[in-house]
Amino acid sequence: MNPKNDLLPGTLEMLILVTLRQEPLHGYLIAQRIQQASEDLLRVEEGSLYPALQRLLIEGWVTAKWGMSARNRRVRIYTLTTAGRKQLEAETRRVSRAIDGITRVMRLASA
Amino acid sequence: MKRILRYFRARRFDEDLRAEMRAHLDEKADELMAGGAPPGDARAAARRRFGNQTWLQERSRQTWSFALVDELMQDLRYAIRMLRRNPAFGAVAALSLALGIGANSLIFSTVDGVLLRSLPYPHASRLFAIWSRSPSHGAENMHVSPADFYDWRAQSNAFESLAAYASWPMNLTNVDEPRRLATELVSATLFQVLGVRAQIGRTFAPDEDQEQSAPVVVISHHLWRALGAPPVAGRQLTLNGSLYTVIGVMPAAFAFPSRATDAWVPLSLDAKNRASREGRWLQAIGRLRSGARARDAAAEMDVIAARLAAAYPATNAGWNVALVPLQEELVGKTRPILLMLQAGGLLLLLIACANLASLLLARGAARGREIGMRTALGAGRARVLRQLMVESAVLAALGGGLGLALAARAIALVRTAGEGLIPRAGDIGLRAPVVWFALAATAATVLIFGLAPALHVSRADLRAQIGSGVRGTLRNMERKRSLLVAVEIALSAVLLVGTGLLVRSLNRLLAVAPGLRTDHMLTMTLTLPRARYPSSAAQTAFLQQVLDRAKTLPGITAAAEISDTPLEGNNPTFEFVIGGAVRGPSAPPVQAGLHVISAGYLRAAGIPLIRGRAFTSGDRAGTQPFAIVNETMARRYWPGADPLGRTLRFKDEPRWITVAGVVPDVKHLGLKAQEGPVVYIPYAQKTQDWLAWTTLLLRTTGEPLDLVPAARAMIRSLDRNQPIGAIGTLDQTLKRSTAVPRFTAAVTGAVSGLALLIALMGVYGLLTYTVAQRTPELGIRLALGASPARMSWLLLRQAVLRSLAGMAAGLAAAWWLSRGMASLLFEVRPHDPVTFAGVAVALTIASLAAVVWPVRRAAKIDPMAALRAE
Repeated sequence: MNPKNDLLPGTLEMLILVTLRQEPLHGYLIAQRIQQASEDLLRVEEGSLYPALQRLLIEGWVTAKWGMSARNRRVRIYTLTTAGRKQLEAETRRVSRAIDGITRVMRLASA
Repeated sequence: MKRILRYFRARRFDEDLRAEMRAHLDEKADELMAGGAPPGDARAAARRRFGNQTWLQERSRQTWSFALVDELMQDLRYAIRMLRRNPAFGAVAALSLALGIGANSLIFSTVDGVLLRSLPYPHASRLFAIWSRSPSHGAENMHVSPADFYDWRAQSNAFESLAAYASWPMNLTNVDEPRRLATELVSATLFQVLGVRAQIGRTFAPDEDQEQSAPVVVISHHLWRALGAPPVAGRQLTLNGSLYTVIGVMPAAFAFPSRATDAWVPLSLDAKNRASREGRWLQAIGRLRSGARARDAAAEMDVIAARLAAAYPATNAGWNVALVPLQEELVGKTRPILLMLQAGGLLLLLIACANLASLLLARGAARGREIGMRTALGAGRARVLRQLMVESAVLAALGGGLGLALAARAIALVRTAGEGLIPRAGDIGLRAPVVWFALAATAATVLIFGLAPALHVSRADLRAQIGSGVRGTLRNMERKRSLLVAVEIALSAVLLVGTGLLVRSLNRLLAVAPGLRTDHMLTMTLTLPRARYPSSAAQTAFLQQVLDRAKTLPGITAAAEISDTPLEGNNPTFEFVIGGAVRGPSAPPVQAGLHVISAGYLRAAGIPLIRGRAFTSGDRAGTQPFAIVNETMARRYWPGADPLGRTLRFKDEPRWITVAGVVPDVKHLGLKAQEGPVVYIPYAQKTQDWLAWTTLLLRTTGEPLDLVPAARAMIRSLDRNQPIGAIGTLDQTLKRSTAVPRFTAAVTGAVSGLALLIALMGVYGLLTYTVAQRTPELGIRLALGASPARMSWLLLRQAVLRSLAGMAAGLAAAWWLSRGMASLLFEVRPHDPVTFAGVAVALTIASLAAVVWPVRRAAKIDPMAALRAE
């Protein structure tokens, strides 16, 4: 695996789904948004976006079609599907439950 | 399936992904430049931020799981590229496999069709041939007399039913071109015993073989076609001058007792013949009742035979019954030959596999560095193994495919050429079991010999492989290859001994003098219809006319007739009583072959007289009867005495016949057989009206077959309705009599020749390789003052010792195995010293020849060049 990817497995996919919730975006913009949103906390190699996007395509959570970027370049624009939206909600619930749990444990540990 | 579809979309996928990634990098660079970075830096930074593009692309592809198919295709492409880069290796490996697998598929098809596949009758395992036998008369598997047959049929319980048949060629005349038919006289039960039905019409009703039954005939599919496939109902054929109504046509696949059989006619014996126990001339088969055991049936038949022997001691004393499974009866003689060929084929396959293994080992070692490098670059062990396996599989697929193609062609050949040579040749075919066999052989080869070197290579220590310190592995590998090459030589030695024995035995057989001149001799058989020529006198008159006319034909120097074509294996035996006081009145009659000949036969056939005189035109029906006997007859019944003037008579005729001459033995039964006592009588004095056939022999000045039209026209001019049977030459008959041993020797010769070639390639390849690997070492030795001659000697000794060791092992194995071939040999012992010595010498010379070239190359090594290379 890519040694520079210090994300938990599956996290990048989640970040992509979250990013696409508002609007369809092309690859470069997805990378930009993720970095801005996480305030450079998650240092992701921009390229690792693409294998992750393939997985999402296979799962049917996003679709892609060719379009134009703001700089007038031919790019593939990714859109969240209904299935992807459901998956995101489910994931969000799961993650927040997990974080709740972790937070409680941490509180215990620090108390 | 989906994956494969995706694979074909993968190309498109790659382009899309690349375009997308390029767009990403450009966007990034544009942005960085907008922030003031110089274009070059911006691009570099964008790429840095992006990561390893190729790797990411690969990951993306893997996500779509093109990977497995993809990698396999990659391996396949790589394997094909490797083969094309080293075509000699690929060709040798694939060809040796193809030959091994092809030869085996062919032989196995034959074994399967002839020996393994059951006969094409329902419950064929319940069918038995039933023979009379009398050890005290030296008679095994003798035919059955009609009365015995009907008694067996009436009294046997273990057999559901019994059938009898006898070959009885008949003349078909109410057609445009009269022809002689291979007809069988059969009991009405025959088709019921075999369990077959007619394809058109019907077979015989149970009572249709009575003396007074209306004459009917069942015809074969090929005769029906030859007649123009007429509607069967009411169609009549004139057979031997009488009208027979066609009642049925058998299916094309039905071939009993042989494929040549044209028609079946009921065995309608008159009361006298039906009650006869004298002549044993019927063949019998029976179908066991379901659930009955062969052993019980044999015991029951013994009881019946004993009962008959007690009731009719004159004819049946000492006679009992032998049961032989019908399949064994038909193919029994072929079994040892086919099994031997199968063994030879398997040895060839083993040699081919050993050779492939040795080649793969060598290549594995040569590619150690490459594989080490690939492993160091992160290729998993499984991946490397798979790559090597794919390479072997490509080889095996090439070899197996080519082998099957070869076998398919060869099988078509054997089917047509084997007719008459191999029983059931028509049943041979490239069938599913054969294809499975080839696949299994191929798969086993790949698994065993492809995986072994693959494991060996991939287990090898990486550092050792990449570095130059590979000597240890190489040594180890060389030992294994040495062993494989020795095994190849050993197996070839076994095959060569087998071939040597067969060839020597064939030479002995071909050296046997047939006892008459076979060159320039046209032969044709004539069967005279009894309706037209009822008596011996009428028959003889016609035959004499034929001779007189034949002698006037241009290109013919002599014409003669004999009742059975010489060398063809026909030698009807009769019972004779020897005259004189030597034997008492109770002495049993003696058995001797009978040939009826025309007056000029001995001279025309080139048979010399030892004593006495030949028959002349003076030996006529009314004059004193004379006979000529062969040497064996003279020696056996008048030992130490002059046979001339002695007398003998047919057992059932009171007339005494005087011996007028003695001739050497003629191989009437074929070259292999020991000729028994034989009596010749002239046609003019023949008394057996039923013996109404002859073989016309015409000695020609030119090519005998050129005279066929003239001879045909001559006979038609004498009797328009007289058909001509088998036409050929005596040379052809002679050749046919040795066809099976020639075929066997040729096939084993081809198999062992191929085996030797492959083994020698192994010897050559190994030494060439050794020399190449040891070039630096040999260079050092040369530089230090070793003489090239001494060095060549060392290499030569090593290689030759290896071959000799293999040869010794092979000869020992052959010594042990060759005993199994005894039944196939003629006048050659299985431990024939000439064969063994010959194989040893030939193999030694061949091995030497195979190593001369690499050794010479070693002697020519330039020490400086060798050292520089290191």
